[in-house]
Amino acid sequence: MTKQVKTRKQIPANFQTIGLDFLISLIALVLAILTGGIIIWLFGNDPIASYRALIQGAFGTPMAFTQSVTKSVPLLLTGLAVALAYKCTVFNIGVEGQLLLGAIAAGIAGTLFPLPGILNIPFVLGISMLAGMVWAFFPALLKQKANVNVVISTIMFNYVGQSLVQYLILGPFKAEGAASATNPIQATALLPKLLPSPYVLNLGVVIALAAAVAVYFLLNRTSLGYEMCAVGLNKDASYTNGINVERNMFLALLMSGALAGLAGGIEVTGTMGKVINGFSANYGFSGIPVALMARNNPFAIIITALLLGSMRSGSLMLQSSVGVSKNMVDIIQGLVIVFLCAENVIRYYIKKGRGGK
Amino acid sequence: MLNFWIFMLASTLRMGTPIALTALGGLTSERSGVVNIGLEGIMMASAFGAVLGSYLTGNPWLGVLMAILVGVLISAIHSVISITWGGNQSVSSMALVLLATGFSGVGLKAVFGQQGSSPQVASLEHTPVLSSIPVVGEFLADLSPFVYIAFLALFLIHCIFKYTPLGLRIITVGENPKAAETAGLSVHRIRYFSVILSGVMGGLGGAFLSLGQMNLFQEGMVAGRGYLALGAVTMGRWSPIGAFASAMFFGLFSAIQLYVQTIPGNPIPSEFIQMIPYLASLLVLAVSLKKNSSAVGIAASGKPYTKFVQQR
Amino acid sequence: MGSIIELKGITKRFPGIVANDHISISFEEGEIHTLAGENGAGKSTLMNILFGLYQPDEGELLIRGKSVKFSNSKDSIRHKIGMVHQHFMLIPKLTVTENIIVGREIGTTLKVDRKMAGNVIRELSEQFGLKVDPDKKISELSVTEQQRVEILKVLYREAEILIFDEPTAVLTPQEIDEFCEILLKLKEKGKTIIFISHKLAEVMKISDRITVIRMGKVVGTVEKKETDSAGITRMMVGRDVNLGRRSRRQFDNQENILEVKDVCHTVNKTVKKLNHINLALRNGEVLGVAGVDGNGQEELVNVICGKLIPDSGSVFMNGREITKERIRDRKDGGLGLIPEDRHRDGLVLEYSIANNLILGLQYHEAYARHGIWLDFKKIHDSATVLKEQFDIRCANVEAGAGTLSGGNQQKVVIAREAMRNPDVLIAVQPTRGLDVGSMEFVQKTLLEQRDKGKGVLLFSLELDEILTVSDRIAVIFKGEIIDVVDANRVTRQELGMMMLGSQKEKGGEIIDKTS
Repeated sequence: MTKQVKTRKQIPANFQTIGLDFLISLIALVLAILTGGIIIWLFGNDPIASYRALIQGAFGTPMAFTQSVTKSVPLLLTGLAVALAYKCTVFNIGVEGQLLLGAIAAGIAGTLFPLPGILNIPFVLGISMLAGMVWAFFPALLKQKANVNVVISTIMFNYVGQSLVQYLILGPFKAEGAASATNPIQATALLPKLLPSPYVLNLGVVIALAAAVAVYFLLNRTSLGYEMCAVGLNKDASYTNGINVERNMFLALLMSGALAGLAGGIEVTGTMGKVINGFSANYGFSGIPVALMARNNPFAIIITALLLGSMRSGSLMLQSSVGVSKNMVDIIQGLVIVFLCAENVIRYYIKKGRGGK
Repeated sequence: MLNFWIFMLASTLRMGTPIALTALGGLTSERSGVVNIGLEGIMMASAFGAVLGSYLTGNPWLGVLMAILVGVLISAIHSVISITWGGNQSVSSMALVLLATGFSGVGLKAVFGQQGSSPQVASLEHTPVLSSIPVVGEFLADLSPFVYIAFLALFLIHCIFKYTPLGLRIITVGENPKAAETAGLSVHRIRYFSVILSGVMGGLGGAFLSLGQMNLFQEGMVAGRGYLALGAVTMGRWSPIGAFASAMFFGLFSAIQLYVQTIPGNPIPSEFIQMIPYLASLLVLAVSLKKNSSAVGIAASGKPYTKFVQQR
Repeated sequence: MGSIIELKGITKRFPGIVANDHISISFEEGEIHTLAGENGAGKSTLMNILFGLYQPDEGELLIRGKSVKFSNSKDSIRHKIGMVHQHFMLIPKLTVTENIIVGREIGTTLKVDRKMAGNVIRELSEQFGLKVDPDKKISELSVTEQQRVEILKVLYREAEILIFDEPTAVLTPQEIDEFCEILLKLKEKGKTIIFISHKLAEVMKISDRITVIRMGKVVGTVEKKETDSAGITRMMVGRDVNLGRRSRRQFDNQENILEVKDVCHTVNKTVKKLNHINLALRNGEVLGVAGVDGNGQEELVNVICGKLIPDSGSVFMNGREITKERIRDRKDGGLGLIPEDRHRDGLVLEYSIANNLILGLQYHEAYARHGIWLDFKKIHDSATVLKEQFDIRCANVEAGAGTLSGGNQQKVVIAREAMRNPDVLIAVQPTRGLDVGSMEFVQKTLLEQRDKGKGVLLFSLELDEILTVSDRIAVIFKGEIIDVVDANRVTRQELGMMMLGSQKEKGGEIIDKTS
């Protein structure tokens, strides 16, 4: 009878806004790639060859492609973690520590019970999410009770987390005969592979994608999401209208920690089968550019995670064949963020162009 | 016994100096209204730059100059983003850290052909010229010249804020940029100055890590000290003396960590000892903030003031 | 003759709106010239251009016949132009002296001579009759004292042309008289004064000439003697306006539905913001709260709505104690709030209008299944109904709230609060910054709520509004309610005196309570 409501999105995201956001991210990426090329050239290497190597290393062979996708999985989750917290104005830089704690928790829980896979996998991953949440709980508490800046406390807890996890891997949970890894987890706790060996693609991809969908629904379709986004957009108005700002930010940080912990759990149950010391190639921290480039949109994060994950994957070939340090990828990601920060300028000129008719 | 106290004092000064130098910079930047969380990145890149400069010229002081230049360059980027573009300052800071990590890694490979750490270079770990002073000469000479630079910087920055017109202007800009503009001040110019000054201080802090404490660059050598510096600024209530003292306080915890590690046969795993400075600093920060909960920060801190951002 | 400033064809555009549309005005030296117009007409924008804070898109600016371009306020200060803003540009942490001299410090390049500066300021304040203590921090000053500091800032920079943006908005009638005297004294000393206001009493009192601006264009410039309040209003709005008292329903049995009993709140261990304050609101009435800004209104509102828990005392609504209740519970229990700053506290501008209309209700079964899953259809439909009811002018309810005009934004806030059918409705400065049409609408809505039997608590700094809308008026002074009077029987002057602390005795004698 009554007409279907056209726009069902939470924030008035009519297509113009999405289009503009996408355009800005694209411009930032292109500028970053160009500037990166200039830097490569300044250091005495060939930019074209470098980028070719990067792409080759990322997508050149089916093996490389599946490697890229697998490497993108933790980035997808940490990106979601950063984005979710950021929607509620909490800058969770502690994803690295939360991921590590999630990993070690999975690594330990996975060795415990010879349960059938259908139980063991949710159990182990659940524990990893719990561990990530616990690790986010401390900075959240410090913020709520003592007003300690979340950025500082989450970063501090990254360092503490790194030390703690290293201790656990090299100490009480070290495997016999292994140099720096824990005992392998139960076979039933391993995530099933999606493709036959030697490919490493596993169920983790599906779980991560499901997480992205879940985050979308949370933010856009639930009352909790409504509150969290409201707090992120206008704390004062939210508070005045009865929304508990502190509670929402606390929850956002906890949920964010859970997602990061899940990333660690999937690394253990999907890729490694145990916990290897130093396995995290900065997966946590890299979630930040993933989230920023995607403007905290869960579906866009899928794309940016794949993009940045592939870049990381390809950077090994960049180093081995062209000789440019793999840290070049850090520079490019940094540049993307720098150019993203110019969005206010871009919006201003676009508005001026439109309004000055 | 005296040896123990001398050791602790020297260690505290050594551990606290890089944090103090950077904190003084972070303080200046924040008082003008710009938050510079990227100081960690600035320290990292400057540490590398210092070693690079020392390596190329053989003169560690030129290495320091290089470190300062790197600090200025990176903070200039942050300035453009935060001040002129009106970008989010926390986000911009993260970009800086990424860029710094990238550059040190790329630089290490490109210049030294190595991964992880650089070769050893001429450094500034001691101040031999002071050894002729009676009684304390030996102790003083043992410390790096950076320690004295830090105290000098404290004096200068303290005087700037307390006595000079520039200090008054920085404070005004940080509290209410619109008021500053109506008084005829150039908000952007003053903020640029403050942020670049913070880059200089961060550069000095980073240079100390690679040239004042050691004689090489190592990936990960900053280990969060840039962030600790920001904590020191908050704990010190945005006053130069307060920030300096808080930084030294954090240095004390690192000194304790060092000492515990030297005790033979100590049962505590090294990883837990490593945690001490971070946990202790957080604890102290929490307690101090809780006690003084009415501590209001800088009114306009973190808020962009530029034509590209609509002022509410 | 001596046209000291001439604006020729000044045009300024902002995204979506032309704030100044080819405005041409000439100001004569030594006159008091008023720019009159509704809120949003473009007066402030024009003066910000004159002061260098904005740059015009088109047009020319001439000072003493010479064409000038101001790229920032430094330029205009150099041309001896000064502006006293509506919202003070002061730093609470710093002293009066520091606030005044920053940018033009006394002393050497390395050292500020605060002592000499203080003396200079003392001299200046004597010269112009603006009493102020140079060593006090701004946070310790009253609103009027702060205004004096603002004026001194401008005089310190040797301004010859002074622009005042809505200076009387925060003053009592007595203070307004004092202010007018200050202006006349400045005129005596040869200053040229440009005065922005939409308050006609003051405009008619001291202006020499008046230029009316409507919707960004100049309507005309008149000599004061050639016109009157009604004439100006007609030029400002384009029609005759009646903001007078309306007829209202009478109630027989009225009960207290909101009671504030003996509430105290101290800040920084010394300053008593609320001092054993007592207030009672009845159903079916509008109780206006009059007072100079800063006498505890903000704290009182916060205690009632739940943002502030008092040190002692209690708050009752419908007989139930709500002193420590959460904001959400109070709202669910029948308390509505139209906040002072609709952008900061009333709306989430990036959310759609429809989503703003359920702000605070997002977990109610009416809009969310099981309190969790939002029902967008219901939200949309509800918004459409409210749009009709409250005449919210928008393309569709899914548009962002930020695209609405100020008046329509306020309608969204009011619609939302009214829709919840509160027993108590608190309105804080509800017509601030609104055009006349919206003002009429807001006042009409408040009276409608009253006539439905609700209790309306109106906080306003506009005495005319309080007198027009209220049934009774409570005067707040230094955290206490000095007196509650019948709105029909009190005069502006009497109210003004009470706002400054004097108390009206039963026999009509004034007792001074300023101790």
